[in-house]
Amino acid sequence: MMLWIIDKVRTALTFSREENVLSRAHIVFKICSVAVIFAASIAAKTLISSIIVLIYPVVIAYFTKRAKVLLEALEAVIVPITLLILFTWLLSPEGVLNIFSILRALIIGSRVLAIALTLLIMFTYTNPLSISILLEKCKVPIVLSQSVILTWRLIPLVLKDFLESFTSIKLRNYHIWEALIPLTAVSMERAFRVSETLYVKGFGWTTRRTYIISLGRCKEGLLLLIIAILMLLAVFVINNIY
Amino acid sequence: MIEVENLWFKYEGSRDWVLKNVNFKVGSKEFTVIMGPNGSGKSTLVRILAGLIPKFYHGELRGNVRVGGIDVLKKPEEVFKVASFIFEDPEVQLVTTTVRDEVSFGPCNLGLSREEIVRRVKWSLEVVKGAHLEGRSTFELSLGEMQKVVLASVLSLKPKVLVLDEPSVFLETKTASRLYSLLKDLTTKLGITVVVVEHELDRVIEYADRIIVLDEGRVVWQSSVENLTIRSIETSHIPVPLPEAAIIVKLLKDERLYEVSLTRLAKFVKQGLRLKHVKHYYVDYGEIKGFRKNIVILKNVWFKYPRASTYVLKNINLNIRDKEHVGILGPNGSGKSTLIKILIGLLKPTRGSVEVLGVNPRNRRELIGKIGYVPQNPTLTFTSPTVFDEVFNTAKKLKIPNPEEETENVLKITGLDNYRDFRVLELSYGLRRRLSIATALVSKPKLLILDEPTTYLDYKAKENLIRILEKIRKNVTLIIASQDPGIITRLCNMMLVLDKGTIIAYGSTRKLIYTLNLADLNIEEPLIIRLTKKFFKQINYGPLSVEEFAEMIAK
Repeated sequence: MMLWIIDKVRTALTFSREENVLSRAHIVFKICSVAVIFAASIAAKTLISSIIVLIYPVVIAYFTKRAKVLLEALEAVIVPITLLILFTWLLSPEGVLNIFSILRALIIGSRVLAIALTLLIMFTYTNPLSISILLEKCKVPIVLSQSVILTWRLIPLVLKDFLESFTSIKLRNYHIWEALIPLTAVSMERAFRVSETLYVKGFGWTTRRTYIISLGRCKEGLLLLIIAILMLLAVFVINNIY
Repeated sequence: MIEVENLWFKYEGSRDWVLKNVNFKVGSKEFTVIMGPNGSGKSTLVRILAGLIPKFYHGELRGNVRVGGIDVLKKPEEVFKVASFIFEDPEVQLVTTTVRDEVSFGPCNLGLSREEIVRRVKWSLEVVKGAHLEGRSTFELSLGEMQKVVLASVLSLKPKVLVLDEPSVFLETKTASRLYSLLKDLTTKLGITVVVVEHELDRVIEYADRIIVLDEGRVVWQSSVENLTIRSIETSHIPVPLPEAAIIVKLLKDERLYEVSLTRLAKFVKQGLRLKHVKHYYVDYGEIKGFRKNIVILKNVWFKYPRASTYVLKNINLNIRDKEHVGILGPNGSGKSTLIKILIGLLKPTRGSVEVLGVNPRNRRELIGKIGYVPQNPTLTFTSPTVFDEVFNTAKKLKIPNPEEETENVLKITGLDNYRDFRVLELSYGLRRRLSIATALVSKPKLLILDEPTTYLDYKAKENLIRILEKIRKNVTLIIASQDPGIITRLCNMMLVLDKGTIIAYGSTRKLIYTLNLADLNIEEPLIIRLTKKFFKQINYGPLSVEEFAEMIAK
């Protein structure tokens, strides 16, 4: 099960180069949209309003013209969110056989699911370099802002190593956690090699860095933001009705 | 362009000098190859040329090193302005998510204008013949494509010197030849000085201007490649492997050719020695016959990676019999490693069924101790601090009777008994691979699976590995995925040829290697095979090793 989750997380975190509304949208609008959806999830107090928020990741998945991206994101988070729902229900102070405890668990689960799916789908179609540019514009030091793109690049690779390490040691009857030992060694070697690569490519030589990519288009970004705001309004309306 | 004088270096905490009084000069526009066995100091030397030592690795450094006029020991951080460095593994050198971002990364760091950066990106991708890759994501590139992008990403810095540490290690022979031909073009057309570390003389002999040989930290030979002959290698005891052309000349015992430059010899042997064409040649070297149980069964297996648009494996149907030795051969991106990962249960086929030793390999518990797996990166299998502990702990985990005795036995078979107390992370790549094999062997598995076992190995380490596998293969079913037909022809009686995810051929290695044209798959056949095919027009069954070739010539 653990391997399945890791494999799915790796897939969901892999950057996609496909051109669509999401990949063209301006990064600032994307971040604002995520923030609005986050607010809507927090605001959702009923099961219906929290399910309404879940429409947002479905809509942005539709914009990607690739419905499977929704399934991939869902697979990556389904197990932890199911566990979250289960434990919220089982540990509820009202007791297990209470409709309110079941409802509360479902509301919390669907809120978290909406945020997680939105983040994963957005990130899939966001060039990390655009986040670096934005961070640099906000006066974040260049080394920190560049860490974003490196993390993006390395996470899928580290997860791939973990899967291979686990499989090979499992055939020798070791436990899953013992795969962390070789994984740490290999990841350290990888990280060291990456820092060498950055050095030979002149990273950090100057604080004035040029970028050739744009932050995205406002038209598409605005569309994402308007839909997110509509979701937020819908949540408020439904909260008042029920 | 490069001047190295009285260079000494030892790593922090180490007693031994890795480089001992190294002296050499490399002229402008020269293509220089640095050779030598594992541990001879080649990688350390090129890291000094790139300024990574003393900046990244600390230790005692003496002497003078100037690259493109920059004093490396005094201003290592400025070396990147004149010299670019490429490591052996292209995957870790890609630091961004798209090819365009990757190639522009260096110029962006220099703070150049947008127009200039765009111009450089286009130019460097065109130079490496990779203009079509510009819009791609770095996650979806094959190894050959990654290598091109890495090269373009350093060319965009417009270096005067290009230093490469074993750039061909992950590439199939033809792709490696193309890379070296490209590097040669960079020296002749763009005037860039190229310094390459390489193990295989065969790969670089056509392109190199100069060869520097290191052994135990010292330069033991340096000269123009034209001066390299069989005689000079033998009399000076130069630790480089003889190219195949030279081996054949030695077999023919024509001493006149011993003085001929190896470059000319390679061309001469390629063009054909004066042997009569024989119409048909047949010899039975003894194939495995009789009924044996199928222990690996794949039925209609298809596989597609998530986010990929095409299938990596397409309708694979395969039966591997008990005690069979199967070599999976194919170019980069043909699906070899994916097939191996399906066999060990790491990947689940998108469609179709897999059975290994009677069970689905995803059910790993059933296969504990029955399959030995040696991944491409052996470090991924190590869980203990020392060589002995690594094997011993595995034996204990697998509840093997007399684990200590079995550990000693396996260490002896794999030639690791002298390294039993060494720390695993301090071992060379060749020894790490052997240790990974030792841990796989301790349970006496029925099936041993190796993914690209010769990667990173020099000729001695490769020969040692082949000898170990020759020793143990009698009692085990062996599956080796490799782009090196040399190891497959030496160890495997069966060969599976993959291309673009489809099985092109599966059958006796000896028959297939003589009936297929591997060059169509970007794989260069061993010279023995090429020559035999050339001499014997209708051959469909022939020698696989130098010894067998000599035997055939004698007949």
